Amino acid sequence: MIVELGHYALVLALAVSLIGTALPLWGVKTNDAALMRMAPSASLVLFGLVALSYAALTKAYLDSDFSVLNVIENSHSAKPLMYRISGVWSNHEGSMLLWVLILALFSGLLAWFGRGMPQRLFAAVLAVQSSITAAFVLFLLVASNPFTRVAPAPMEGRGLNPLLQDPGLAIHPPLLYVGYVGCSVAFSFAIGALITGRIDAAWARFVRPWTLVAWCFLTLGIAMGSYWAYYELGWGGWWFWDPVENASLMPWLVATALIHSTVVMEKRDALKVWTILLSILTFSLSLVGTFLVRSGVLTSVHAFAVDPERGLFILGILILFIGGSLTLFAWRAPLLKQGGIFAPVSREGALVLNNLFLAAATAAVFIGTLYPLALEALTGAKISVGAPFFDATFLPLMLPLAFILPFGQALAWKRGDLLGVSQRLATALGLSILITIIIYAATWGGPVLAPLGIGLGFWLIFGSIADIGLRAKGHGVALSVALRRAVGLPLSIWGSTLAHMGVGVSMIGVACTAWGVEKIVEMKPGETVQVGRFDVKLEGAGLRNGPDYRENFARFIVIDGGRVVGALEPGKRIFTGRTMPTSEAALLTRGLGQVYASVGDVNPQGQIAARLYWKPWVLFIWIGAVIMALGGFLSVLDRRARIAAAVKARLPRAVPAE
Amino acid sequence: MVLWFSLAILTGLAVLALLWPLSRTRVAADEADDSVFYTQELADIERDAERGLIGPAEAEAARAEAARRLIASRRRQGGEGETSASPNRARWAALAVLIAIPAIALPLYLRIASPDLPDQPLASRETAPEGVQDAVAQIERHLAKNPNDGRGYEVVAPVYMEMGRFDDAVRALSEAARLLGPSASRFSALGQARVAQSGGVVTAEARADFERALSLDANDLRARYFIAMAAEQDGNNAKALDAYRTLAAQIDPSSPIGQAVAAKIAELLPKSEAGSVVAALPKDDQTKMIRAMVAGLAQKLESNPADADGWMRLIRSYVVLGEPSQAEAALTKARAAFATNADVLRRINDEARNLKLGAAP
Amino acid sequence: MTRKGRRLAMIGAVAVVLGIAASLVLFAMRDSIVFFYGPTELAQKNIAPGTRLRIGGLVETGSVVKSADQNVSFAVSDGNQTVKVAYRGQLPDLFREGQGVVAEGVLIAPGQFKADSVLAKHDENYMPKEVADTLKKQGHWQEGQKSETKK
Repeated sequence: MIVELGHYALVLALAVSLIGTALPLWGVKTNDAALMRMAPSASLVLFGLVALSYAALTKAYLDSDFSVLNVIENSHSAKPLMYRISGVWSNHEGSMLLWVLILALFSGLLAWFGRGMPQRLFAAVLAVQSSITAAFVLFLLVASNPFTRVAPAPMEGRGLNPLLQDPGLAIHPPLLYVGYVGCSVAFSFAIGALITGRIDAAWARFVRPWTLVAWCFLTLGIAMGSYWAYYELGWGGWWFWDPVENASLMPWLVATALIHSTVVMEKRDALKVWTILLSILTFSLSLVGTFLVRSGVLTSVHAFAVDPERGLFILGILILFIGGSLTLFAWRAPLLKQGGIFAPVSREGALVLNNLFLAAATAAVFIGTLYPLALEALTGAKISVGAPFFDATFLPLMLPLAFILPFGQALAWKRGDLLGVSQRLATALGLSILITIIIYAATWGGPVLAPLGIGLGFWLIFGSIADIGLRAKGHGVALSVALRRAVGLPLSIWGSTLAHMGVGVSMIGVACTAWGVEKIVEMKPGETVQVGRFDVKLEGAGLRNGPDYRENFARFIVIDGGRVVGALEPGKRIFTGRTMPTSEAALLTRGLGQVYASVGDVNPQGQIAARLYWKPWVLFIWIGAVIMALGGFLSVLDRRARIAAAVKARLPRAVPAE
Repeated sequence: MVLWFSLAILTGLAVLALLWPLSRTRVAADEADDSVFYTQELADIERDAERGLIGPAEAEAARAEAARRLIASRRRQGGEGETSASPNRARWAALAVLIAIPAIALPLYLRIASPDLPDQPLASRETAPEGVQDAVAQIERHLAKNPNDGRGYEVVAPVYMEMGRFDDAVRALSEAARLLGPSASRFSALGQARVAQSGGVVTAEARADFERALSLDANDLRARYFIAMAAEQDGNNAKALDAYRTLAAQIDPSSPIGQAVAAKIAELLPKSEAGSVVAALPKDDQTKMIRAMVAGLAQKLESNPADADGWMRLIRSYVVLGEPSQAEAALTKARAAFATNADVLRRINDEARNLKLGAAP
Repeated sequence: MTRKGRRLAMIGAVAVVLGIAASLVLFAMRDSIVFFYGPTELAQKNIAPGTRLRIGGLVETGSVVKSADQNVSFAVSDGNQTVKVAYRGQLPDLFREGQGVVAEGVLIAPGQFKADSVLAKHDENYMPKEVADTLKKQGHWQEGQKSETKK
């Protein structure tokens, strides 16, 4: 009964989302307050229904209810509890339901916290959110229903894909989905602005916290995915430029541009049309990221034919929302009141440059990802665009961006003084150059570009510190005053500074991979191989059982300067219910570097094939990403970002919907 | 009954929550506009200036700009006019909610859902007799501790087969073969488990196992039976029939395998003869002839729907002929014919899954 | 700066950045794109040795020879033509005889290929579609359907 109740809740959600789209929009058109007030009620009801539906599916997983096809295909009664919960989103149908749940959650939060917004915009934004929900609930019900039943029910399920049975991957999709779906709010705001024909600095202030939250989760989700690929796939790499990764990087790049352009809009009332376009593109690329990847189209046009119904439905949704919004944009955007033109050398000028570089980088990634697809569809030739393409296009666009970043951060609004800024940043720049020279000297004959990357990373970090310092110090005040001022600086300033430092930290981590050591060897028990400054000795190999897998493992010990510092036990697992083996890499963290091992087959001579790596400072890559996300969250907490809530407190209480 | 009651309540709650804002026809005073935003921005500037975060000149400029925007915003607000609220419109909207919600939700739900299927959490289901379950659990625990006990795997494998846990059976039998060394019966049992795992299809892997079994013992009956079945599934009916016939000559026809072979021969005999005739015809005629045969089978099943194998053959034929809708229709009929026979229904559903046809109702 | 001057500066910046981006993309397109061929296409196209390529097909049964120091050789076939592939390193988990495979590397001589990376391809029947995107990450691409390479 619970399963059917969940199924019905989803069906009901479709009806409510259609009503929640149509009536508030009618209200906006006729300026009818009562109809517009239906928008938040509908959003909250919608969230309740989708949450009920999701809870019902989760319960089916927890109870191993094999009368639900989705549970049969993706669960097994022997699964540990955690993977029965994550099993819900480990597959297409369940993850789509999670996607819709997060969408409904965002609409609900917006309905709750956005009540201080101008009413017409508020109603229009929520109506657009409802329309997105309607499309995806319909997609769930018609083409990917997670509640399909089977009678008679089999006694056992087929188990979760072993690759997904990993804590990292269990939480990676929800993080990424919060990021992707969060972008829908900016999209709805953009469409709302186009519908109501009004956009101004307040709009930017309202949309900013939502975009920031989405951006933070996107950052964390991408970092998590990259770390998972690094330790689970056994290849030692952390970014492969494959279509799935690119699909998540593109919305991140555009969202990064968007959070910068909304600042310009808020402070200077400019870049309006551009910001609207970015909002539309961010969500469009998120949709592409979720769905083209899911349908398999990105890998090959042929994948589309595997499930044409689903593929066509997805294509329809993409055309409706991306095409529709861009058409609306082309029609309505010229009617928006334009902002002013401003001086090239100023904070806003630098932010425009930032947007330009980010947009160009997105375009490069977009072309690299979709060109093979287009070529295959048009000429039938199959090509692969791999890392060399992206290294040659993406990096040259990111490096100048990193270089100008500290200047932009230090420039004043309206009219900047580049010379003055350079003087103020001279110490930071000097230190960074010094570090670069020292690294060159110390590693002469080694990698050429990497020291430059590290220097640039330090330039970002020092530049950010200098910026905070200058803001606090002002004109030669005492240290105690400066400290008090630094603490009193708005959180948004601390947030952006922190995020920029995070970029620097990641950059250093990436540059340091150039000094990594890779050994592909075949070893007999007792043999030792030198990997970087470590000696790695193979102690032995064996067989062991996990809760629902069997593992062939090897045991290495790691010796640093004659002392044993730890052990590594990589293996290959075969899971119950599946016949496919998966590699399990092992990591040993030393400082911020890691010794990494993965094993292959045993050859007839009794040797074990192994890949051993030493990756110095590699953790900086992900630590940097976490710092970026922290910076973002700090900005969200800024009291200025909570304007809507503050306004609400001062007004008579609005009526809650339930 | 409880379900329908719950669905009704859920619908009612949703409708009520949607109607609630319509019931308040008075234009509420909670009209917010963005002038509040600029007022607050002005306050922010004051605060920053007091703390010395921005210089007096900067503060003055910022204040001027915020004030300018505040005025612009007020002006715009005035131009937009008051919001209206027409009772008439509200009435139409309420009507739309009242009609649309149930009108969309109910028919759609009835179309796609299975309201009469209860939840079937594993814990509450009648599974294999408890004694067997316990015994299996005990052996599994034992094997988890002693992963190299080949005998244990061999003992538990047939029980897995019995319970329908084919994946586990395959795993246990491969372990047994690995640990106890090759034997014809082990390989043929493993092959059989693989066939069961893939829903009755003799896969390449399974065939390799049977061939290995035959290389150890050319007389392994199970392996020979499945090799014949592989030939049948490859479409080589003549070869399959030959193999079945030789097999039948050597075994006791009353044994289970003997009966299975006899049934196969009975099934193949007309097919292979017809097949050889069909093969001699030109391509176009072949297709015509095959279609005629399929139509004949369909007709026969209409009058005598109790033939499970016939239905499955019909469904498969439609899939091969590239007529998925016909296959779906036949599937529905087959399900209807065996609605009360759980065993056959499961076979039909398995077959449907293999052929990637519509999900079970 | 005048209003017109500002506008010009802005347009100039846009043009410069986009120009740089466009030339980078075009340049990289010429140099770092790798074509994918099946064994038959490879034989027909007469490709000069030394070209960087991806080839794909089924690993011919019985062709895998493992020798010392992780050297492996195997033949990739599409039922029509075969290419001999030499590779050194760990093979992916799903590398099997008779299964699909994609290899990237350099053509040394007609019908002779030296791979520096090998990706095992999935049989669609064997792999649920839902996890295909994850598997793509691992490099188990589905460059075209199996039926296509088989012909």
